[in-house]
Amino acid sequence: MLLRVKDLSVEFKTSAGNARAVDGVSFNIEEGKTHVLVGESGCGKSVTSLAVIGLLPGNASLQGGQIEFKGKDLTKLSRTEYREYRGSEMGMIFQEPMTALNPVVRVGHQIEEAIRQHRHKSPLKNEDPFKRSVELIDQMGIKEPEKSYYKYPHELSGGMRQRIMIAIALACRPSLLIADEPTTALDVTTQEQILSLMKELQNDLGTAILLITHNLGVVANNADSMSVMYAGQVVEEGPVSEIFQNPCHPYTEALFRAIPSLTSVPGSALHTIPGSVPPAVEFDRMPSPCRFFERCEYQDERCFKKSSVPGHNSYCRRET
Amino acid sequence: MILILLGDLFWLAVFTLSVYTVFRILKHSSLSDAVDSMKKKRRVRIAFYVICIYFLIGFVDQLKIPGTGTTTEFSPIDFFFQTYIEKERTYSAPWAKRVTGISEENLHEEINLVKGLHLLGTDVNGYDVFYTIFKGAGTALILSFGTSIIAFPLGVALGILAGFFGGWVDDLIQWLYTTVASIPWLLFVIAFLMVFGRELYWICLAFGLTSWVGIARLVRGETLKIKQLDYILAAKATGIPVLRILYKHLLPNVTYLIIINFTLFSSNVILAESVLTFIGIGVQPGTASWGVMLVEAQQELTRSPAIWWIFAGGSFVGILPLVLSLNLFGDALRDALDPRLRGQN
Repeated sequence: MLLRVKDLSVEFKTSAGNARAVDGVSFNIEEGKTHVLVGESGCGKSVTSLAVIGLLPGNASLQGGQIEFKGKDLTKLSRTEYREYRGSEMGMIFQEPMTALNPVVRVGHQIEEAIRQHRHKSPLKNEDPFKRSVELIDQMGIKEPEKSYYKYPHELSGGMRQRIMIAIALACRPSLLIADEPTTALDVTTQEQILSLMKELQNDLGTAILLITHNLGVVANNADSMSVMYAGQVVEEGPVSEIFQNPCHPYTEALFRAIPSLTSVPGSALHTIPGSVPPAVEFDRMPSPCRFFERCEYQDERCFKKSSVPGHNSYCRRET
Repeated sequence: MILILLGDLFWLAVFTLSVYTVFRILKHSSLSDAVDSMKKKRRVRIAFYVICIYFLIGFVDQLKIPGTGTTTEFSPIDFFFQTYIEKERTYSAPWAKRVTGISEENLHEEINLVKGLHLLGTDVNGYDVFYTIFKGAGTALILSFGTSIIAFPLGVALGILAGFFGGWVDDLIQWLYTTVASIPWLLFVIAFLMVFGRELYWICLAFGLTSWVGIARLVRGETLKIKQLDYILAAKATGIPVLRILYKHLLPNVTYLIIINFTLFSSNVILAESVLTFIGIGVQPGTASWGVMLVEAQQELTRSPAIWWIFAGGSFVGILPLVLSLNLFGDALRDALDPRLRGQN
């Protein structure tokens, strides 16, 4: 098992009190597979990914749990040790390609920087950083790789910038790629291109992917297993095919129902989930039996008992 | 002798570096629309050329050619004026045919019509006023570059550290620059120069140590904005150590502030030198500067007939065009670079 996250909790110190944005989250990722964290904005998916790569902001702290990567517990690493993992064993790509690339540095240099930083590690020892960068640009499907090396980010389109970001993340052939909503800022056709590029690279390099998205369509085609998150907790987890066929948790059901379908009657109202995700500060102050209670359509006495469904885990307390 | 040649090489290097920097900026693709918008305005183009001319004259004045046994080192400007323009006995008005005498016998000496053509007249020692203006440009250049080389690295470095790290580092640096800013500037400079001396390099140091605060504040503010951006997080996610991030990712993105503020800063320095000289604590008596011209003009203007051409030269040919151009250009730079970089997508 490449990555084992167990009972991870992250707390933020804010002026309104402590906010436990991630509360007891667990999931596993096998080598070469894709695991996706799905959920609405504010449910803690991005914070979880930042915790895994060790880049939580200053006012956040780990409040328990383990992150076991290739057998080592990352939570116990010093800053220098952790830095050795970033870029070489774990790569990360971000949502907004324009702000994720330095606007005054040429894209080729940005890729090369990633290579030069980890050059002393064995797989990269004898590679010429320039050649490898051009190779990567070519692998990403960008035409005229040698010329594109010298371009600035503003000279490239959104899709190309995202490809460059992927190139930077994969430059040192990491075992895990964390992709935080990589296609949310792109149009649909570009989305498709980027996702298939990622799949192709995953096959070639054997990289595992931790994908974060709120788009179930992206999940369907690109992930092996998924965790549905709400208010800092995992409410349902399991293989993608199973959950898609048989969503158990009311929240997951509601998410699927909210997807507009080609077969729905024109003029009918779209399904929504009433209310909205409360701010993270209030997560552990929620009185109800489960955090989704207030917005849940079921809400009966079964909520006060525990259960789980064979095949995949659902943390709804109703009996099925 | 060797020192002089080293000095020449140094100034040649500075010159080449400046020209190279300007060209790099002009050709940088992410600045191309800013440059274009500036090129279109005639006012800005003229301001730019004026600045270039003054700085060029200033640079030329720094190249000292070693003298022979009896003469000291001299610059090409000295050479030009010594050879081609006649040194008169004393004052003469612009384009005058006669020297203004002090003693009775040489009251109305004739002026050589070719070599003696003084476009702005001559000063008390008979030197062409343009000569003093050119030498003053040299002083202005030294002050501008000298003060910048002290104030900018200090201000930018502290600004970036304060903005990026926050916490006690920020508190410490803010305390430092607030304290420096609360010292009455003039008193500090006067005290400093009285202790260390009034050579140009001491003046540069005095100015530099007090004026780094402005750039530090600006850079700190910009750093606070930039450190939230994804590419800083992405650089961290690639495992790049913090100091390298500051140097390779943050610094290039605050460079536009340095460019803008260099021009405005230089104009302030030139004016400040005039103020100091007016008070009497400025450049040493032997050094030529526009401030000195203004100070001497005080008495000269009270003579009858008034000797106005030195004042006119120092202020309207010396200070005014350069300071005005620096300000115009700096403002145009700020308009072109600031909103452009923020709205760029």
